Amino acid sequence: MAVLVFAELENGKVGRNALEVLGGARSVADKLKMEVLCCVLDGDGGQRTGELGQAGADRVIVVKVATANPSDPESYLAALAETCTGIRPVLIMFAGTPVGRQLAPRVAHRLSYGIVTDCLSIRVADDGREILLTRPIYGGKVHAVFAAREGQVITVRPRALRPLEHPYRADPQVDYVEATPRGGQPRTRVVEVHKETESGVKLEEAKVVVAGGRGIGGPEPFAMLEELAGLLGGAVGGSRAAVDAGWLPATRQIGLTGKIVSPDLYVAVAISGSSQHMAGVANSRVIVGINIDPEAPIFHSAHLGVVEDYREFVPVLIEKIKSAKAC
Amino acid sequence: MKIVVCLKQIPDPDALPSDLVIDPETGKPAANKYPLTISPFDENALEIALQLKDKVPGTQIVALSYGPESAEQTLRKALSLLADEAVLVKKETSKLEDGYGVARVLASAIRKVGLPDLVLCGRQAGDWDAGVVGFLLADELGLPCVGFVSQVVSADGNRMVFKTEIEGGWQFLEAELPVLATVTNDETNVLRMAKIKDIMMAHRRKVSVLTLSELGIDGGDLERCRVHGGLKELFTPVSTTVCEFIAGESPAEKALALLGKLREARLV
Ligand SMILES: Cc1cc2nc3c(=O)[nH]c(=O)nc-3n(C[C@H](O)[C@H](O)[C@H](O)COP(=O)(O)OP(=O)(O)OC[C@H]3O[C@@H](n4cnc5c(N)ncnc54)[C@H](O)[C@@H]3O)c2cc1C
Repeated sequence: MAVLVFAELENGKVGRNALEVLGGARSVADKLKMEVLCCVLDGDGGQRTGELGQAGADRVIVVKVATANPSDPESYLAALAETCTGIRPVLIMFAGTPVGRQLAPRVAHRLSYGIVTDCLSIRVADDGREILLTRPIYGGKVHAVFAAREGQVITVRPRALRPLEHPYRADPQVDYVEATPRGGQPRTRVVEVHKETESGVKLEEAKVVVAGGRGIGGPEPFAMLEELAGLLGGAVGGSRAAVDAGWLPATRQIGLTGKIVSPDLYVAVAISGSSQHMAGVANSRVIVGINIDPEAPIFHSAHLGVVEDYREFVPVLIEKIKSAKAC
Repeated sequence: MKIVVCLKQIPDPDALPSDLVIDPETGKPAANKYPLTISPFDENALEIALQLKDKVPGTQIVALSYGPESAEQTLRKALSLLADEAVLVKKETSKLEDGYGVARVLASAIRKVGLPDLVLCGRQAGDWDAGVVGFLLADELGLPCVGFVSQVVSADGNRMVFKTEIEGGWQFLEAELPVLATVTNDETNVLRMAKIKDIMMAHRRKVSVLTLSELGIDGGDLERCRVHGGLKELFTPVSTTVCEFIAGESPAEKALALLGKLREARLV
């Protein structure tokens, strides 16, 4: 009996998402006295088995698929599902990334497993027999707790679980699985991959994030937010409303269905503070809300609130920071 | 080209959290006071279908919904935006059903209306936010699946190129038709407004209704395959955060006061 993690690499490296899921898997497996198996795609994955052991895996299974492209789940779904079928783990875990969210339901379907997505916590019940999964519903306004089925697939929300604090083991057992080639041509093909070229700080890693919402009113004032973020050493993001209006690229959306950020300082400018937006900033140390409306829901989540028209307040704030820096 | 767009009617996702109590049996708000609306990502999917229809002559759009009678409103909205056909599979229970059951129903309905070149679903519904139905539906239909699509870049003959969201960026991905795509939002796929005359016309157009038995599905079966059988508890998370409002007579005073606070917390 085992817990299985599919580790997706980030630019060829074991990134935070994989570390978090492996850390979470380790603590569940320890309580259930089970092993943690970690599946990776060959290529970069085969080079990183030691790190995966340190992150919590007892065994690493390197899946070789000739036609696999990591960002196209269709190209290796069948091989992954077959590998899982051979093992029948009690729990299969994916990070809640676009790839993980696509693979998880389909792996579940192929194994006739249960599927619960976007888990915030996974814990073994006190009697040691049930695995309890908590996930937000209705945009996070309500939380639901599920008891895992005998065979269960889950996805885990980024930043919800913690990586292990100490390396687990440096020399996990490594097995190789070669996928049997299937007849016919693959039905999907990646034509071109674009990685965000973020000048300056990456949104997910930024210590300071300044975000703008519908109340910003147009694309031009985002230059003001860029300036503020620049002064604070941070990055700019926004709400879905700002993205839908075309003021920011979709890669800058923060929230339930955008990026999950965890800065020390989050400044929400002209954002109402919907539960779906706040789902992406829950792990911020200090949240500042700047909103013209004293009744705006943002003030239920913000630690510091400024009731002002941002068009008057933000330029003054920028000026004060500049003059403080000058002396 | 033929396109099926799956649309779900949900309680307004902008509902205030303070009085949102969900009934675990139905999965819906206990008090029936929230207006019903199309799930936002399904709107994005519908817009993508409409854009294809604008570009590719002869494109037929079938709007499909599995839901209670009220879901007819959702389909009428699609008709008012010039979808060609509307099909409602009537939900016979008020009980909460899981993604497996819904995917089975949608797959049977799609087979009944004829397998299209493209099936579109929102990436997740704005009520339970699970994001599984589209992917399960692809498997039920044996179709390849492209997730997190924001745009169709090109469509010619039996291939389509999609722009899709990936971790840390985006990609262009080509797929052979037929294919299923789940849709995410960007600035190009915000649902257009219907013309008044088309809204009037839509009232007179036909919404075909299918029952589960016409699809050869036993409603009781659907309830039994519930993952939600494992649902133990629903609770409202309480925030303990108390907002400290920055005082001051002018924006300048407030800016100074805020900076002081941030400096105290060693944030600037
Ligand atoms: C399934 C689902 C997923 C979603 N995912 C996300 C997500 O990932 N991220 C996300 O952000 N949203 C998401 N949403 C949308 C979300 O529900 C809200 O609609 C959205 O966050 C609102 O954006 P907003 O706060 O910018 O706009 P609004 O709610 O319109 O708020 C604008 C605010 O600006 C203030 N304002 C106006 N003028 C000024 C001024 N001059 N100075 C100061 N303040 C001013 C107003 O008082 C108001 O509070 C999702 C919704 C659903 C259903």
